[in-house]
Amino acid sequence: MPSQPEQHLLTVSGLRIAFRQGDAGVTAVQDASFAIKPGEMLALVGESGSGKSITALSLLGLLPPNAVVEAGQAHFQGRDVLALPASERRAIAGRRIAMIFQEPMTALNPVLTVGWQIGEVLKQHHRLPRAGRQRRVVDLLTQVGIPDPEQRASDYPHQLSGGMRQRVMIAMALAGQPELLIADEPTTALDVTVQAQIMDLLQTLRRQYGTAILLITHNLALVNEQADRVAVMYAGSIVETAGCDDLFRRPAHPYTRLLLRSIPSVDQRGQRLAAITGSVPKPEEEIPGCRFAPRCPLATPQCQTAAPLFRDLAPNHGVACHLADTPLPEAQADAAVSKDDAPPPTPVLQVTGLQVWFPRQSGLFRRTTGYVKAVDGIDFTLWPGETLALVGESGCGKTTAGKALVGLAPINAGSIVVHGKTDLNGLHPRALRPFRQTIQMIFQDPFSSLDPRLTIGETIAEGMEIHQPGLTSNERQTRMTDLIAKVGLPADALRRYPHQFSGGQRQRIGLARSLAVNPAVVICDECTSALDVSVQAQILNLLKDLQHELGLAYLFITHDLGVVSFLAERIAVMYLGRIVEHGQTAEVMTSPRHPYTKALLAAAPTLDSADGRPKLRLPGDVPSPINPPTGCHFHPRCACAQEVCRTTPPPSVSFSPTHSCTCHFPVD
Amino acid sequence: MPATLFQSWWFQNLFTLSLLAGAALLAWRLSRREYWRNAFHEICRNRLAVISFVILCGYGAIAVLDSIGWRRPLRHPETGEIARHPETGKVILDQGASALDYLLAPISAKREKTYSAPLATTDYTPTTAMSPTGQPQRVHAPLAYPRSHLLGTDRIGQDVFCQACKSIRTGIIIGLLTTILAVPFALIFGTAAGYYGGWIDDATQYVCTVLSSIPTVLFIAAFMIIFGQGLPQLALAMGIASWTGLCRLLRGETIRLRETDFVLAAKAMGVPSWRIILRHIVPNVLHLILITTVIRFSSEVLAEAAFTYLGIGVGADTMSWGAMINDARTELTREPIIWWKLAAAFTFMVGLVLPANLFGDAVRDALDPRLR
Repeated sequence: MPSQPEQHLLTVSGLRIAFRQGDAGVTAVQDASFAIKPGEMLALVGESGSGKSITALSLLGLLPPNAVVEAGQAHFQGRDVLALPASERRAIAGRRIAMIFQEPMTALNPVLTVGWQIGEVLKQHHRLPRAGRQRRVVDLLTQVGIPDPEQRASDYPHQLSGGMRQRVMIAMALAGQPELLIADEPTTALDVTVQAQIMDLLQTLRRQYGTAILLITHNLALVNEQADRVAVMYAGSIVETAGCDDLFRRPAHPYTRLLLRSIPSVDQRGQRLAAITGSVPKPEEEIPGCRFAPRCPLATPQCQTAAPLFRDLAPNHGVACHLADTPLPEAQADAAVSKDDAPPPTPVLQVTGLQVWFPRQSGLFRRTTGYVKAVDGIDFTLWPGETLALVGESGCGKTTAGKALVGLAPINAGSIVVHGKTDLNGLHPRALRPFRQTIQMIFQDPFSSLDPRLTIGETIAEGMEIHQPGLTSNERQTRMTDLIAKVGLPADALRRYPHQFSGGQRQRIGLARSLAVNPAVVICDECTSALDVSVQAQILNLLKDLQHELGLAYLFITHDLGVVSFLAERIAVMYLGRIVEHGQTAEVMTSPRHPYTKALLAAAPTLDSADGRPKLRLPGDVPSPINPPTGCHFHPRCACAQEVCRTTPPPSVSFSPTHSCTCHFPVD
Repeated sequence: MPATLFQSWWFQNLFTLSLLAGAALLAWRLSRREYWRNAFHEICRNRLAVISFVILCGYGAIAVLDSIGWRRPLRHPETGEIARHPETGKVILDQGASALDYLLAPISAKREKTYSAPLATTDYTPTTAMSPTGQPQRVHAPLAYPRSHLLGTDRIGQDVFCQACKSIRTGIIIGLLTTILAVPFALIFGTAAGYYGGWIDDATQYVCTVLSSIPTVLFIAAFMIIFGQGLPQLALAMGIASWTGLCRLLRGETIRLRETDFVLAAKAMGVPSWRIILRHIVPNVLHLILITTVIRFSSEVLAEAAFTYLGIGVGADTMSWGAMINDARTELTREPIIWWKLAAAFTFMVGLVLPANLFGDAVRDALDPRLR
């Protein structure tokens, strides 16, 4: 595929990597070929298990011990890094090719200062004398935009925020002035606003030093805004490579096309998402022919037998598919879009002044010395059959608010009125028990939310045993069979154990467990963020269907604005324990009034062309709720902050009956 | 009198059989759960574990045989006539012996005068005898039962192999009883402390800290002085001294589980706390209990030997490996050295402890979902 290899910094061809499992080998990467020019950003995109990280690790010789490169070359500046002996590869890896990892929390040693750790890299790779090292460390920290670099160099990792730590990791990677930087999900663990800062930093470095970047990610929107070229991986093979524009405007492979359609956004409101059926195959699954064929709506008998060869559709646009030109079936419109506009008489949930304060205790006698105000007085109303999204970055208290509603966090003050009658706060735990079934919760992590030692049937039955003790075991069985069919799982699932299910299926089980007690409100706590995009679409569709069928109200807690704009009727934006803006989805998404909302929207990457949008970047990180800023919590990061913001909490300003925000100087 | 009740054969038989029945019931219940069935298949694939299991079963069988027994009618030593009470005419029974005793009777009946090496034909130490010519000379006198003592005989001519076999029961009872006593304490206090936290946690932690700050040897010595030496006392003392470690382990694991989403989901569902502990916490710490039990078992066996050696273990009337090693202490200083008693105790102990450890490792691996 690469015609002039000398132009390229790195040319990978025919790479095949296998895992040894006992006597059998499992192919994790099959025939991967791609090339990067100097100064270019190539994105390697794929869902979990697509082999994108393994591909990158193989270039640095960091493969796990049971993985073997079976075939292929990777020419870097004319030398095949895969064939080099370990000693020579070390001279390249970490120096000419550097890597940044996903978890800035674990990639740094907690007992050494960051300055020492960067210095160590300089010592190992560049044999810099001690005096020069100190200066270079400060230089590097300045380069990656860390304020007070002299000060920060003597900090320990835990004193830095996640974004800062990722900057330190980038500084370490830059220490050797590498020609190629491999960034493996560099922003996945970070908040959107911080993600935007880090991506800006990477782009600046690329422009300044001409460093090529291999960006490995699952986030297509991020790729759309950042990369020059894209290689899409699926189940171990590269299925499509193209320039960024080409790929997003004229995707050729059915997988790419479906994937782009399955990303929720405003445009898909009222439609069903084009969810790809099934889930990403595991590497050990044997699939003859095209690995995507079992999930492909276009698949022909040919696809099931013969693996498609990689071919060029146009210059710089290659695809591995027999049917790259066949049009896809159209997206289904949502059957039940039309809704009664008249609001139902009583709200199902009315929250006023909800406060969750965690006491901070110190000293021998555990005296309470202060409070962490995780949730500091929030109000909202939830009507039957609607979805309210609680949006915010990590640490803003959105999850705590959700937990407080189901009784998993202590409520300091406020009222939670259910069905306009009963205030749950202050009820004795025993008196509260019958109301537990009204509000249910679905959790983020599908792997920890099911008890590994109970069958699915036992898990679902648990709530019914508490809340519907009158049911006979036959009635219970019938009801469980109904439920499991409703969430789209086979009937024999009831007798099986959680580990036999994929992440998406487990999320369906979690949903069935909640529905078993006939809730009126379901709190979805980031319930799709741990899933692959194609599976997330299935779950979002299912949530919508169930809402229409059962009239459920959802409190959707998330940081993903795409999901919000697809699913939610109303949005409440949280910052440091308070709701800063609240309104109809369209109002908030198109005319945000609070500077924070505006910045959040600007920072979140989208699939639309990025040109028209203003570049608005928030400096710094979310402050700690232990010691929140005075006045308006947002003022230290706000561009339009004035004196009054530092002293006085802002009032609530209404712009329409539904749209309000708390700000001294709302944006027009 | 309670002492005679515990020592009576019918009580021992009943106790042993109910233990066996309990174990069988547990095995049957577990075999119906897929989780445990998978673990079982996993263990079956590990050849070392299967061999270990077979050896452990052998030890277990000997211990069971040594725990059930019966009394037989007393017979006249020469005529073989059954003795009867002179007035009532009732058959008089003897002290009774365990099934193992009856099995080993042919060997243990072959008493020598004193030490003889394994499978020897003559005495180990020469004795002075008159030669046919009338000269006194040092000779190795022929044994009464040549080549019939697999592991030799001791100072008073008893078969060492029989002693080692009789010691198996002591070792296994110490290991089992200690564990059976320690696990419920650790489970109840550990999970309660971890789940509820607060003052329950504080109280449990204080008790654990106090107990584990007393040196084990001193605690057991004091216990044995107060309650007298014996197998049940030793097991009780060791149980009390050793539940704190498992309790802390379970507390830690419970604290971790308390924050997992599936426990939170159950709480949000309104499931009562005791039910969450029973349904979600206990099954998820069971594998920890099983692993520590199997691994602890072997250390208890070794501890028993150490305590008996120190003179604070089981009484002198109970045979145990510790007692055998204690005897061997003086024998090792003799010239020529009497090595087989120590070797026998050592071999039998390793034969139990090594398979127990190997099997424990296999069980741990089989129960860890990440390794499947």
